[in-house]
Amino acid sequence: MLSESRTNVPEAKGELQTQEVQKFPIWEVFTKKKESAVHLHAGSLSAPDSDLAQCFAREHYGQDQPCVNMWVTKRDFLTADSGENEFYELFVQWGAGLRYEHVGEVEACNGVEARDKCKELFCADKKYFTIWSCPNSGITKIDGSTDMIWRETTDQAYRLASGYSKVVRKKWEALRASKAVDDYQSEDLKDTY
Amino acid sequence: MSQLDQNLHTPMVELLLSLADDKLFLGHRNSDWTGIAPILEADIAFSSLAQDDIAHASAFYELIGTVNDKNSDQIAFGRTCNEYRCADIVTKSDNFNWANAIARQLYCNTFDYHRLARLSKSSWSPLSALSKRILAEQTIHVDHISTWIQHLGNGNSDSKARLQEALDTFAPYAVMLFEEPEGLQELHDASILQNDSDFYTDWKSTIDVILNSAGVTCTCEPTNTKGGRSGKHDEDFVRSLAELQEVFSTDPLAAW
Repeated sequence: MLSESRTNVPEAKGELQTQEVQKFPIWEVFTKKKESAVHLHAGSLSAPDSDLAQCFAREHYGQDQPCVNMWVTKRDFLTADSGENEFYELFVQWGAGLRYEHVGEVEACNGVEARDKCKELFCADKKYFTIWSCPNSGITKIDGSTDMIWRETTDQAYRLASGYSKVVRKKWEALRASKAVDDYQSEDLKDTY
Repeated sequence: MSQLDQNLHTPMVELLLSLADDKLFLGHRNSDWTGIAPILEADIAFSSLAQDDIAHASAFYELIGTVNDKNSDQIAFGRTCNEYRCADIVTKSDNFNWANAIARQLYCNTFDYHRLARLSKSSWSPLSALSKRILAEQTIHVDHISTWIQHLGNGNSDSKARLQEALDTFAPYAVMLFEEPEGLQELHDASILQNDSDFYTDWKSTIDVILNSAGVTCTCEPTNTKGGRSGKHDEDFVRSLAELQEVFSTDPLAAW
C-alpha cells in the first residue's frame, strides 16, 4: 500500500528543464569484487558530470556485491579513435553478451593504436567479440581500501543480488513445501493424484 | 570498558534511542522517493542511502537490546508516540520537493557524522566500536549530499533559489537535533562520553564549508526548546509513526 504522503504527491511546478536530463552523458562502471579478481564491466548510468557519476556508481554498482575497487569513465572514451600519447586500460568482451573484462594496459598514441596493441598482446590466439580502450586520464579510480565503497559495517545480506540470506531462503522453501501439501489437499487436485 | 554501570542504563538507552530513531525515520521518510525521484539515478541512489540509514538504526536497536534486554523489533516498532526520541526534522514532510529532501539530508547527515564521531570516542567499548564502523559509512552519505548541494547551488538561479528556500525552511527543525537526550550529563559525569568540543559549533562549521562552496547559506540559532528528544512530537511524526507501525501492529508477536 502507498503511504499517505505518496498518495498526494504534488505536481511539480516551475521551469524544470527536463530535456537537459536526456542529454546527460553516459558513464560506464567497472568493479572488482576482491583484490585477486580483475575489473569487470558492471553497467552504465547517466550523470551530468564525473562527481555525480561517482556518487551514483557507488550506490548502483558498489552495493549489490562486495566491491574493493571501482573505475568510472565516460562511454565516449571507450570507443574513441583519437587521443593523446599515454597509457590505455584495455577491456575485452570475449563473446557476444559477455561482460567486458580488464586484460591490461598499453602505452599508445590514440584509441586505435591501443586496441590494435590489445589484439596483438592479449587476443593473439583467442576469439574475441569487441574491445574497449580507455585513456588512463579519463578514468576515475576509487580504491575501496582507502575510500569505502562496499558497506560491510552492518549486515548487508539483504542487498546481495545473489539472493537473501540462508534464513530467508529456508523460510521460502518451507513455505513452498507447505504450498505443495495444500495443493494436494485441495479438491481440484485430489483427482489428479 | 565493556560493562555499563546499572545506573547508567537509562541515560544510555535515551541517548541510543535518539540516534536510532533519527535514522529509522529518516530512512523511512526518504524511501518515499523510491520510484519518483527527479532522475532515475538519483532514485536508486537515494533509496540505497535510505536502506543504509535503516540498517544503521537496526544495528543501534540491537545495541539497545543488550542494555535493556528487549527485542530490537519491539524497540523499533512497539512504542507509543511519546516514547520515540527522534527530532521531528526526520519526519517533517518534504512535500516531494527535491530541494527540501536534499536540505534535510544535509542537516541530518552532517549532524550524524559529528554525533557518531563523538560516540566513537566513548569509553564504553560496544558503543565506540559500533560508532566507529558506522562513521565510515556516514562519511559516504556526507560526500554524496555535499555533491548534490554543490550541483543545486551552482546550477542555475532557479535551482539555487529553491535550495536556499529549502535550507531556510528546514533550519529551525535542524537545530532541534541538538536537544539533549535526558541524562546525557550523567554519561559525561561518568566519563562514558567526552565533551571536549562544542557539538553545535562543529556541525555549523561543517555545513558552512559545504554551503559556501555552493553559494548558499544556513541561518540558524541554537535553542533550548523541548521537542522530539523529550517525546513531544508534531503531526507529521504521528502520521509517520502510524504508517511505520501499520504492519507490525497487526500482529506484534509475529516472527519475521
